[in-house]
Amino acid sequence: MDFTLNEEQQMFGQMFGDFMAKEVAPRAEAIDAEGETPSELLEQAAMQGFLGAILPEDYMGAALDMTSYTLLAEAWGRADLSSATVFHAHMMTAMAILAHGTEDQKATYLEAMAMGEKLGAFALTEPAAGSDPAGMLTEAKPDGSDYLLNGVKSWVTNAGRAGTYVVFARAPEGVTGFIVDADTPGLKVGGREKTLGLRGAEIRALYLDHARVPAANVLGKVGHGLRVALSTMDFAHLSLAALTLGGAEQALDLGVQFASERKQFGVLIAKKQAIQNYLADAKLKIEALRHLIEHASWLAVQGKPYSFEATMAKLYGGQAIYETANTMIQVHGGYGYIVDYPISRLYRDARAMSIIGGSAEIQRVLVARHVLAEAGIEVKP
Amino acid sequence: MDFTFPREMEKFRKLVREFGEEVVRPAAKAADEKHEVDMDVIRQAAAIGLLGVPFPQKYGGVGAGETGYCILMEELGKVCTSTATTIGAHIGIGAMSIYLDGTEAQKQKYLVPLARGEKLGAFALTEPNAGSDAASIKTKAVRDGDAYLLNGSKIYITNGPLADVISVLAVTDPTLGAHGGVTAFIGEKQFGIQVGTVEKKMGIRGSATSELIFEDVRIPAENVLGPVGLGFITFMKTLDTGRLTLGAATLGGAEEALRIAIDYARVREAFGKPIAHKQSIQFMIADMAAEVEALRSLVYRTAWMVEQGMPYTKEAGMCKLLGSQTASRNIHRALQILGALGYSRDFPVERMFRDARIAEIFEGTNEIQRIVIASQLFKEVGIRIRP
Amino acid sequence: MRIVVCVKQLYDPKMARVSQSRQSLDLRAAELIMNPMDLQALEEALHVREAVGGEVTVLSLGKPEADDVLLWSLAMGADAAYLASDERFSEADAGVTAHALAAAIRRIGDVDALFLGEYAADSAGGQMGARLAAMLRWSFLPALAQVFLTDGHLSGLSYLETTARRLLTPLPAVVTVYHRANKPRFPHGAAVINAYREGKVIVWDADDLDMTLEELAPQTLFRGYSLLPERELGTRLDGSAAEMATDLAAMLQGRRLLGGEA
Ligand SMILES: Cc1cc2nc3c(=O)[nH]c(=O)nc-3n(C[C@H](O)[C@H](O)[C@H](O)COP(=O)(O)OP(=O)(O)OC[C@H]3O[C@@H](n4cnc5c(N)ncnc54)[C@H](O)[C@@H]3O)c2cc1C
Ligand SMILES: Cc1cc2nc3c(=O)[nH]c(=O)nc-3n(C[C@H](O)[C@H](O)[C@H](O)COP(=O)(O)OP(=O)(O)OC[C@H]3O[C@@H](n4cnc5c(N)ncnc54)[C@H](O)[C@@H]3O)c2cc1C
Repeated sequence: MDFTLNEEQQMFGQMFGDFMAKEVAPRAEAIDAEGETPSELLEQAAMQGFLGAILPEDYMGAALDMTSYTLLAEAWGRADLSSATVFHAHMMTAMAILAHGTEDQKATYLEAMAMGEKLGAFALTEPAAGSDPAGMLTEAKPDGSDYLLNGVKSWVTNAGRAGTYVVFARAPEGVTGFIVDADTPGLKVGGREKTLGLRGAEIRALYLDHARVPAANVLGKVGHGLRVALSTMDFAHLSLAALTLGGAEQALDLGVQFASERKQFGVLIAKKQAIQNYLADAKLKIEALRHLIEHASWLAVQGKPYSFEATMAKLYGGQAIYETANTMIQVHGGYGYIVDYPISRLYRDARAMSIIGGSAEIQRVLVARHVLAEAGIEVKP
Repeated sequence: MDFTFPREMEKFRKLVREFGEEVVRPAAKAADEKHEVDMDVIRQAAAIGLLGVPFPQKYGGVGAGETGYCILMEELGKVCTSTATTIGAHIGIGAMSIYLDGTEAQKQKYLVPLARGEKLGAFALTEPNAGSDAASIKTKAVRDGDAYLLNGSKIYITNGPLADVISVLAVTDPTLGAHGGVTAFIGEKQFGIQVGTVEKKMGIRGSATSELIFEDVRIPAENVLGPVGLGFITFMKTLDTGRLTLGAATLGGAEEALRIAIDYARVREAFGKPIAHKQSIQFMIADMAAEVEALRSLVYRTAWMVEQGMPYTKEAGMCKLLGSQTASRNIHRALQILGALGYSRDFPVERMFRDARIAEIFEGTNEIQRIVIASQLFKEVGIRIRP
Repeated sequence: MRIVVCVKQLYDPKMARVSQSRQSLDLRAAELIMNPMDLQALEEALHVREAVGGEVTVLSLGKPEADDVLLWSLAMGADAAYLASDERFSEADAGVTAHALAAAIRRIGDVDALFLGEYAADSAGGQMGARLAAMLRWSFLPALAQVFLTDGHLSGLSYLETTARRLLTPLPAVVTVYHRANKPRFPHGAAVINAYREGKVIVWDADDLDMTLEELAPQTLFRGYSLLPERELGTRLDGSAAEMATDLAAMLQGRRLLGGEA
């Protein structure tokens, strides 16, 4: 066993942290208040190579290993969860293309994505099919050498801003993934979703009205779309878990800072056990989460399956970040409820993390499935 | 034992519920978005007596007692926590302090117009360095002829920008400390109390919270509330009833979350069936219901204790503690059951989620409630607890 | 000036379900409420009283628990309340009800106007106003809004037909209040508490009302409920107007609904 990061990973971790603290964290409040992740922030991130973080160098990527990637996602989550979610959705779209795309597709799309010329968006959910993507209604009808896509995708992060969409639709052979350009005729975006938190992420519905997509843009095999989506979820879970780790750390930092400055009854509130217990429990969750993430990313670096570990990390991360933000608001007393203090934003942002990328209930199903598989019992959602 | 409500209380509930559904609920979303109190709603509530529910009719109230007041807060808590907060601060702490410790003349002069809703009340205790530790307030009141001059600043005062009548606590004798040196006053906005920063909040944005600044504000000596030097007692006693009825408001929020969760789980399908068929959902809903019923029993039993004249400090703390947790937890679960729609501002759960969080903080944080409860329990066995 | 308003308690039709046997109504989930149209009649009467003075008396026929709608009316501002209640009314049809209400109105005495809801939300019969007018030999103005009273006359806008007509009649008169005439007020909280605490409803039985056996005998017999038969899908005619007219005429003749030959 070796729990240390290698030199490169350490260096990256340091660099990510510095960049995020300097360039992103100071903007977090405005990103939330104005409801937008500024383009120049994404441009800066692209210049640093972040938008191609896990892509190979052939596609102008930074070729980070998975552990270094989680350090990046963690640092971004710590600085600002809204723009980190924009980044996450982009990266998972790129990951889907990297894992399942043809050479042509990769050459066409990934470089532009890594350079930040095209942002990615991943369109799986529909109004009537969230947890159960197999229930999707969007259709892909073959039409000559093209497909015509018809239907509605909902809750698509980066919709409206993205240049490259990965869209799932039902072809005659079954659910199929497609790479869809933003300027495809027949593709329209809906109004902005107004949300509790993550307000700097642009989330919209996608309306597909006879959107014509060349058969060459089928991602993976026709009829294998659910497999494409699910395998991308391994990465997405780990990526989101790293975001939650960063957010939870930030919440704890804010709590520690407040508790070590605020006096009541003649002493720092940090001297009270009630407050200490909140801080202790938060730290416990953070470290447990960190180890789940490190383990999962280590498996990935080893080229081993990490699906189960990533799912656990995401499930736990959603809980940990919410509970931490919740108790750290409490540590702030009345100040925690005033928007001038960043903890209330974190609390709103944190709440998404048990829904986005698969609800906690569905992740429990996945974990239980793994647990019971050893006993030969099949678990269905 | 009889767990039914008297008929007049049931009908009073019907009144408040209809008012809540027809007047308050439709206004809640806009008030939240504008970050503004909807004064039209408050005026309509005043017109039918809802700003004076617990007070006797001879003081312009409805005469519905503590039970009626809990009913009001429960029903308002279902439809709009902001409105419950505005009215709760007005009745439950603002006017209540005058009702509990005011002289007959003070009641006639201040309680009557407050109960009738002709004036709005507030309760000013918290200061920048005195939140949980309310005894450390610094606002000073110095005797000056037949009046006191008040200097200092109060923060986070609900109804601060709107209130006409403000109960305020200030130090009259710094050598005596909280017990003996602190006095309660009935202030009027027109005495020169200034409104400072109006806070931007995560939730209850349809209620107004602000700083109140006292610069040589002259309050006549006849406006001393309760005995000079014993204001801390007046204020703590007032907070006891405030905590009970805050518990009632959280009961409303918790019930509403349960109703929304059931309604949604009944119709939302995943994997070919309504999600109501999944144990993950069923168990969340069962827990929600069980906690709601426990809270309901606690709240109305405590209201009954108040009406019987029994001591209820410990129980009031429990109402606030259990209530705020139950509401937050239930709304958290309802949001989960709604999935992405729960996270959307197009549905009320999102607002409820932001609103609910305050109840764990104000009127004494939940940590302070635990201290209150524990100190009552240990007092019974001869141990004195300090915060 | 004395206005009597008839108010009725009924099961909230929104909550009533057809039972599984389809032979009766399942009212277990339904609450007893005041007929919403009667709330409007009361509101209109209170308006009139506020304009010209006088008093508003509410009257109901029902089981003892129907005192609820009267107490609520008192809370809204009515001055007095009477409940006609008797075991012998349990089978009352519209005729018996009208006899009892007319008797009560005579006993109340000095009544200048009688206000009723346009119809009841459960039975939607809408005949009580006309029956009472006939029995009392008063004039009858249906579906009225904006009711005014001026020296011995009552006027209002009648919405019986598609266009509103202003009607005027000498008093005494019976009025049904248009179902969208106004928005009933919320009672004051203290008035609710007081009305229900005091419980000032005067109850009269059939003897108090001097009702004869004949008046007490229902003229209709209740046999049970049945649902309307399911409607079949209609036929859609296509083509030019002339073709469709010819087809329609032929169809109607085929069903012997129209004489002559196609
Ligand atoms: C901020 C945000 C950003 C998002 N971004 C994207 C995106 O970029 N792309 C995208 O495709 N989607 C996105 N989503 C959608 C997200 O993936 C879905 O919300 C999620 O999968 C849940 O689906 P649902 O909201 O339809 O809930 P439902 O599937 O309707 O679930 C409702 C409730 O039922 C529970 N439930 C469902 N099935 C079961 C079961 N079998 N057993 C037990 N419980 C069950 C759920 O856990 C939940 O509590 C986003 C969502 C949010 C909130
Ligand atoms: C929206 C809003 C409305 C409000 N309305 C009013 C109002 O109308 N009138 C009014 O007077 N005030 C009002 N307040 C103020 C409110 O009552 C205080 O915020 C609350 O009492 C907490 O005080 P504080 O914010 O100073 O937190 P602090 O007292 O600084 O508390 C910080 C943290 O330390 C904990 N803590 C403190 N002491 C101890 C201890 N001894 N042991 C363990 N933990 C401890 C607290 O529980 C909390 O977790 C309002 C506040 C808000 C946000």
